[in-house]
Amino acid sequence: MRDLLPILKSLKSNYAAALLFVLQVAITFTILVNAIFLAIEKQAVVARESGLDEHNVFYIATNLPVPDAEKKAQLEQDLININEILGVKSAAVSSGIPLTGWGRLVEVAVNPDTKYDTFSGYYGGDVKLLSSFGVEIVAGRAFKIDEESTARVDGFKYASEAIVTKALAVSLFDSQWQSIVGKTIYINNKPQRVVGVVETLQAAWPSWVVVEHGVISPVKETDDIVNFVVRTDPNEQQRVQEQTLAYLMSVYGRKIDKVETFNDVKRRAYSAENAASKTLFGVIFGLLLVTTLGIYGQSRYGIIKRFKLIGIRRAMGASKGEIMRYFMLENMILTCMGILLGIISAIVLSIAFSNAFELGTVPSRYMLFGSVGMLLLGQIAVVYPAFRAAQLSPAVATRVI
Amino acid sequence: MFIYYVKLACLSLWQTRSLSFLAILIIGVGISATMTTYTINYMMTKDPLPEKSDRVFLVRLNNWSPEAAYRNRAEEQPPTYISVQDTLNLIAQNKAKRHVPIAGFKEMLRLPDQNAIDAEVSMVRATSRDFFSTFDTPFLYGSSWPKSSDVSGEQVVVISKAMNEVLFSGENSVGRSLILGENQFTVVGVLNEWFLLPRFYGDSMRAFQAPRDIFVPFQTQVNLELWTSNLQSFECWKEPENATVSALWASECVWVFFWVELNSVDEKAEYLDFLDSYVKEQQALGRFQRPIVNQLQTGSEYLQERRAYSSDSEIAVWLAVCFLALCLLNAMSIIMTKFQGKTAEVALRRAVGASSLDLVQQYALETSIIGVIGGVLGLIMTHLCLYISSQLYTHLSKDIMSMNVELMLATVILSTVSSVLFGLFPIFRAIGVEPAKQLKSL
Amino acid sequence: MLRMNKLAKTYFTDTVKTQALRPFDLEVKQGEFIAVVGPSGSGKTTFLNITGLLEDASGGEYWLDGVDVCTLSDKQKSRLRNEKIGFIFQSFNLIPELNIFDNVEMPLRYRRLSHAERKKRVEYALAQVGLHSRQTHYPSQLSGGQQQRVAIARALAGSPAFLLADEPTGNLDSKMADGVMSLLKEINAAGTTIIMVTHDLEQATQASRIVEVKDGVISEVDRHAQAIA
Repeated sequence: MRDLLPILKSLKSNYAAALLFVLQVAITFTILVNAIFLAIEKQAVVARESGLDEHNVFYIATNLPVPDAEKKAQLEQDLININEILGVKSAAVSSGIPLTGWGRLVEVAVNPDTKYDTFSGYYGGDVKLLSSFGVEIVAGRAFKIDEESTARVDGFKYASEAIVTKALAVSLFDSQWQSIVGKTIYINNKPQRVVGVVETLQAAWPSWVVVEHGVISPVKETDDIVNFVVRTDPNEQQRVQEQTLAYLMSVYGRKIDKVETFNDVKRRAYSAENAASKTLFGVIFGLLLVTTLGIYGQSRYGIIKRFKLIGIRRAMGASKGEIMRYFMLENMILTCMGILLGIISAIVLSIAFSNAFELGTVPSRYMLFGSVGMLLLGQIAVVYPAFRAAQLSPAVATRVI
Repeated sequence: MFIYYVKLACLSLWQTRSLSFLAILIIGVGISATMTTYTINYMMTKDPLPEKSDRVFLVRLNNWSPEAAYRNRAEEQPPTYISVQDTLNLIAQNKAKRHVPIAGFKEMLRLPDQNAIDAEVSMVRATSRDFFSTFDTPFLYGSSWPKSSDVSGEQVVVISKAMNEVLFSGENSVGRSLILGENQFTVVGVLNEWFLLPRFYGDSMRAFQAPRDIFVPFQTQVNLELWTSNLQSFECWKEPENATVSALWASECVWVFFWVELNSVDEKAEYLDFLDSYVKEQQALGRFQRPIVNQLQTGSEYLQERRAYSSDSEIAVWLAVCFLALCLLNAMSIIMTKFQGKTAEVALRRAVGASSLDLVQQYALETSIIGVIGGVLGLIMTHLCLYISSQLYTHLSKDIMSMNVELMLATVILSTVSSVLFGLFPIFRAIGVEPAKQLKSL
Repeated sequence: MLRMNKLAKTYFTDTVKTQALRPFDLEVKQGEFIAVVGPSGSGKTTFLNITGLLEDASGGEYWLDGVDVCTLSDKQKSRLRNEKIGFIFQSFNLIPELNIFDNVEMPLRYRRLSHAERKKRVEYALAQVGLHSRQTHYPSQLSGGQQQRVAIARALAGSPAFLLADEPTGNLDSKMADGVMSLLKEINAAGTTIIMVTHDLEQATQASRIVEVKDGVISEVDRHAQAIA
């Protein structure tokens, strides 16, 4: 530590370069911490569970090409036939598909007199819908076959039983969420008895505030377009999809509106988030590159400028290790000053962002990890110039530069 | 003298070429990061109709259940779309300069000589002829359909240039036919390259995606009863009489975005008065049993309310500006390093009679050359970054990732001005050194 | 042409006040060759810097061709340096990336002369120092003596009223030094006033007058007394 005083003195005499260095570290730190935070937030959104058996589910949106009166029969026939395809674990019809951006929402209330307590996504389908999505029941039970019914559209108006997601149950009953089983809730003012709770089932809109809220009714719909949800055995998806399409197209008048695997749905739903986090990681990479180059260049230059000083120190008996230590300590002091300044400005920027863009503020552990990272970065950038400085022959002291 | 400075600057740049190159590179990187994010943000938030965005309005009528406000909002707000019957009524009353309903459907599209099996599902925009004049769409061939097509619902289409390439290999297809579902349509016009950014007139979630490729008269969709239930949002506070499309048309279900263009902003109040009187008439017929809170909203007001503008692109700009500041600081320390090697020359020039101003000019010129080259490099890198972004941001239109001339010019100017600004500090430091000291020591 | 009344220089640091030059009077007439001698650290260079308008005096008056330079702005002083004073340095101070022509031309550039005029003057100055044929060479391609002659040509190019030479032979071997000295004498003989700092007494005796600086005190040396001593 006996180097400390000389370092501080030399910084004072060369304050402009030192100030630049400190500012650079501070700005790097500010951007780094905020960018990493934002990137990780985006990743967290993308990583949310949809609740589905994501890799093994696909859906086909199609019509029922028969007169209205025969639609129910046609739908049931289709379901039987699709379920019989080899490799199909479970197939069902659904009024909507999570994260596709198109679906229905309902108002949910605990008491009949209140208008509503919250909004929720809605799915209506046959009893096999839960197993076709691959969602997991965490309380109560699944629908029974005798609870199933058929409607043209808006099945929740006709249902008398419902299954809800855990997130919805929690929002209505907090920690007593399991008590929702057996209770009556009001879906768009119509009383329905909750028979079960599923762990997770996201609604149709990925950026919706209450995307985790879901209500499922055992009512299949025979509207113009119906969605067949097919869950396959692992690695059978491609073949089953082809076979399902082949079956569907065998019915005259059939139009295929859309075929998509759930993996594709999810990729599409989060393309903005994925792109944003990739951009942020690009920014972080460019940032680290520029800063490392900058620190390296400045250290190298600072050392070249002090060749003579180094020579004198060497001539006076400083070891190579001591010379290296001198420059690494100098770097560490400057980096620490930069980090201090950076923490302040990072907090300011984070607060500004959270006010302007409804984001969370950066938690303090990011500051900690960011500080350690910046210190390491500074040391890595200075180690080679410092090593070169240590290799200088003491003879340079006597040479005129 | 200027040429002398240029010569000196070039010599000096060449002499310190590795440092100069590094400074140029770093400025270029900073500039390209800023300009890439700025361009994307600019294109996403710019005014799509600069001449008339303040007099093109979305018509919002408070058509909802007598029992509850629309979406139970504390402050009552009408739906963003209106019903088919109101659309037809408002067009018939003809009180605005132009009326643009935004509706649509999905149908199987094919040419008359193609088999039904080759037909492809296509999204069709149903609107009026005013669509093309209100949004200033350029025509490659033909024109919009005549007024009579809007009134009687003729089976005519306007198609995009891209669709014309696919169907008619880019030929003038006016007069040719195509088949949508069961119905034959005649091409009356082909649009040229056209993109409205942000495309505010429809579903806010698709404001940054390309427009549809096929346009037909709204009345035609109504007449032919073409309806796709899973294409656009629609909300009903009252069930239609029955499941037929004609019942839907007659129902209170709202789903048609209805835009009007007025002659001037001053007419806004007048048109609102007209809407109020229209709603009162309808109330007399037993409809609209809620407070009258009609609204006329501009495109950007509508998009803002729908939160269509992503904050990501704006955050990215701010981060990139910080990044640019960092790059400039870096360049500044490099330039300082450069000039520190020149203190002797500065002192000498001072001694032989160069004034401070002479030297500021000389070194400012050198710095601006770095800035200009950095800016040009930044411009090239920006184009590269935008290309990469267009591959990455698949959910956004490629047109967002393009620069106009003003932006390109701004890039180079930004780079030059900021590097001179950041270069001035080292310049003054270099010149501030007392000449006497440096001359002796060397 | 050059008159100094009670001119003095004091340096202030945080704690110490150093009197670098005590108040002195000096007058230099057109055509004189003045040698400034004294041990190192005595204030020779400070004297030269003040004379060359590179530093401001802290008291007294300094008249150059009838102008009180203490009242001038930085720009005016730059102008005066450019037109009246030619500098010659111990370490030549040529700009390595410029060729000989460009180096000599530099002061003329700041005088905003036309291209033809500059070319004429540079060629004349280089002819004076005998390096006319080396115009396109670079300083590193010349010997020390030649480099100093280029520096002299640069000082002469602006046809200054006087030359200020700071140990012009300090970095040269004796043979080269003699060459430079005789060149300076020729120039002086042609009418240019020269003020030269040196610690070579033999060179000093070749001047018309000798000024000694010792511990900040400037005094004229009586050549005859010196010679007798």
